[in-house]
Amino acid sequence: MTKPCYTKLQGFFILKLYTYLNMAINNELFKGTLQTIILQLLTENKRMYGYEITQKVKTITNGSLLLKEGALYPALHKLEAEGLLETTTEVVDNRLRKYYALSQSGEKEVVNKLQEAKDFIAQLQLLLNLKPSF
Amino acid sequence: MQLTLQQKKEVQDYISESSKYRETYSEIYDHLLNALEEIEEPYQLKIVGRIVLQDFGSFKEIKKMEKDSLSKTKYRYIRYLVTDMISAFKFQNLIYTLLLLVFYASLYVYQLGNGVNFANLYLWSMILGYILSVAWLFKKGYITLSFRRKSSMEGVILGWLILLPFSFFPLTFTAFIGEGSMVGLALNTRNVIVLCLFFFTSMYLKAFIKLYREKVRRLA
Repeated sequence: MTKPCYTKLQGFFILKLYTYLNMAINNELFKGTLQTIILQLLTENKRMYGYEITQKVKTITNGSLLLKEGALYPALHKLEAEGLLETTTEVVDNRLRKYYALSQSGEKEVVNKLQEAKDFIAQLQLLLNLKPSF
Repeated sequence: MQLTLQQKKEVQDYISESSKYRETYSEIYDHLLNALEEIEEPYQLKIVGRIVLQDFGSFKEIKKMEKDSLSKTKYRYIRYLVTDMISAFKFQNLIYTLLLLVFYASLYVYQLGNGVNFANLYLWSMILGYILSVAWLFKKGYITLSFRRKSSMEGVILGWLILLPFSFFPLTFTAFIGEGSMVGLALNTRNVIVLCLFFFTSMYLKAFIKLYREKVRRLA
């Protein structure tokens, strides 16, 4: 079997397509639960910065799930806008670092979000078990 | 890899066009440096490009994310101002609101017997307020320019919010308040409109000052 040979330009577009698909799949998977994941992580770790959150997800799932920054930061900003997160900025290694932490309403909301996620998973399990096996 | 100052400068230059505001720039820069520090290969600028592509998609995506964040922050602040203005009528905050009402009511009673026209007072206080706001914004903008910094997202939103009450001024003045206004109203009615506008502007400015003190975080 001959190995496909790509030009540099083709390679660039393949990389772009791969990145897009990878991002799309992850976005789909995370779409409904991303906020819950963030809130839960912040419950366990008092405050975190963006990169730290992506690495934490990667470590917990042994690299199976990759949380894309293109999805993470908008979700963080949305939670901040909704008043569920509070932010502080610190100078670390001569650069500014933005930390996210749960606000008082965020602490309350995390319980609801977790319950919603658990209910959804239970329903999903029910649905998947009902599926006929081929 | 640990980056030298020169390499850090290269990264800064590379992402300088990625965002319009300081907040986004700082977050992206910190993210990139964290990612670079974990990579074992020797530093090359194309690695930075690769990280941007993999993690954010493109500069266009970053700008889209930034625009989204700007509008979310703007509505968060507007919501805060509206909630604060509404809460001024709640029992625990009523004293300040009542004092303000008594003040404007006494101005109204005073004008009844003296035939005072508040149009000029309205005109000059709006002009003064506008000049003060623009001077404050100019000072903030000058600081940003002198340090060659990107403008702050919060600064832009605050500028928009402080100028908001003054933006209604030309319309209200030419339509109802000024001499020879479009809608011919009795002096007493015009004065009531002016006092109502003063009352709500005072409430708005009080809420704005509270927002500025409580919510606005200043970057170091």
